[in-house]
Amino acid sequence: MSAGNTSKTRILIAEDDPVSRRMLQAFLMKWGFEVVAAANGLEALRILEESDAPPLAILDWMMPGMEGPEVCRRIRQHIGRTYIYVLLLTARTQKDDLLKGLESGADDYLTKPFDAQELRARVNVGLRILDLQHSLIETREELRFRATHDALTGIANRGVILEELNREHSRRSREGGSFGIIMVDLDHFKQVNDTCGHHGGDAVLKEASRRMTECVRAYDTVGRYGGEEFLIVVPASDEIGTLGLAERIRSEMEAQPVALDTGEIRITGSLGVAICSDEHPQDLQVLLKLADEALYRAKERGRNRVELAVQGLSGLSLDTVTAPLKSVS
Amino acid sequence: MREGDGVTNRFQGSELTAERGAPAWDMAAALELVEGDRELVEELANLFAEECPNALAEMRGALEGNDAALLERLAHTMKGSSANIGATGTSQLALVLESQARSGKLDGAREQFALLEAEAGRLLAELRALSSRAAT
Repeated sequence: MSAGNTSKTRILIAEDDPVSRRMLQAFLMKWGFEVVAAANGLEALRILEESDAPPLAILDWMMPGMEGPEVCRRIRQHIGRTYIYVLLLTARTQKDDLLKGLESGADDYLTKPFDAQELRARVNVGLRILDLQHSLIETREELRFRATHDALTGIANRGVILEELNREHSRRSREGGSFGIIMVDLDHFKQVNDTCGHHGGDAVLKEASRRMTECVRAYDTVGRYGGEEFLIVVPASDEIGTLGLAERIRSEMEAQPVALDTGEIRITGSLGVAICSDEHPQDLQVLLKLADEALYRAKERGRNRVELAVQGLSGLSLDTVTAPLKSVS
Repeated sequence: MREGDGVTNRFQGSELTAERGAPAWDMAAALELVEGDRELVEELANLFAEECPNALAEMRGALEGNDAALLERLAHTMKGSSANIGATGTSQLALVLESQARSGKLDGAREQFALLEAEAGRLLAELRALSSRAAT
């Protein structure tokens, strides 16, 4: 997001003496920082507790309102927030005082009167620590994404889609209503791999995922369930709604061929739909089994087809339900 | 004259009083502190000149109210403030006052404050002379 070094690092200075404050500000600005100034401990604490607090702070020890070490102690209590590197400015050179300063949570201290170059060197140490933190956070977020998403398609991985299903199932048990699941299996996928290679197979999987994701609403979740199998969780949806979505997906899949290096290839999917509702409050395993059976039926009945799970003796004719929907696309 | 060694604490707590006749303010020392930035020195000097009378008034109030803790903080601030503009004499006097306040014994503090006030007066006069020279 930030283009190179165009944004300045912000630093807070908390110093009650206007002369010292101005001096610090002048130095830090000269060294390229954006300075936020506070004249007392309470003001400093308020600024450091905000979500966009400066990542670096130079706190004077003796200040009205709240002393530097106390400000330090308070901000260190906020666990899980971006780390703020704190330098305590102190005229106190007794070892006990210095230790107290460090124990209050300061990362370093600088004795007054300070030498400008020493201050600069110590602030740069702080920048080094912040860079380290930044790269750790970036790595953590990357790992978090990889752990929850399918590497090839970028959609939710199996673990995540099942978690989502579990969540939706629990919610429905508490609040009532209904939700649907759609199990999707790409037709003749092994043939795709055989004729176009795994590279072609991957391209088909990516494109199929993209088409499915385009069809669903913002709060539906599309996940990779297996090699060429997908599971879609459709909250707040009944038979008609879920079947309608499934049919849209089926139609979208076959509408356009997929362009590969080796030429164009037509793709279709078979879809099995199952609903969890007040009338049929299925548990998770049963629900998945029902969708799986419906999917199997779709394959048996010629593929490129949507089938609804048979639940109870509702006497619902599946073709009666799906046929009219096929004409609406 | 400070040699630029900012790591050591210059003030060892000695009971120095300002030398009579020596300038209250050392422009060269001040410039050294800000790496030669003349404009900044002038700005800091002006800031100090504005703040100093208030600071002294607050100290007087603290003495009258026998508030040792407040006096300590105010003297501490004055010590740092004056040091930052190269006013060593004032700074040292403020240091002594700070130590006295910290010990809680305000007996000698009244005399010390009088000395500080006198020195600060000299300092302010010199600073005013500088700014009127600059204006011409």
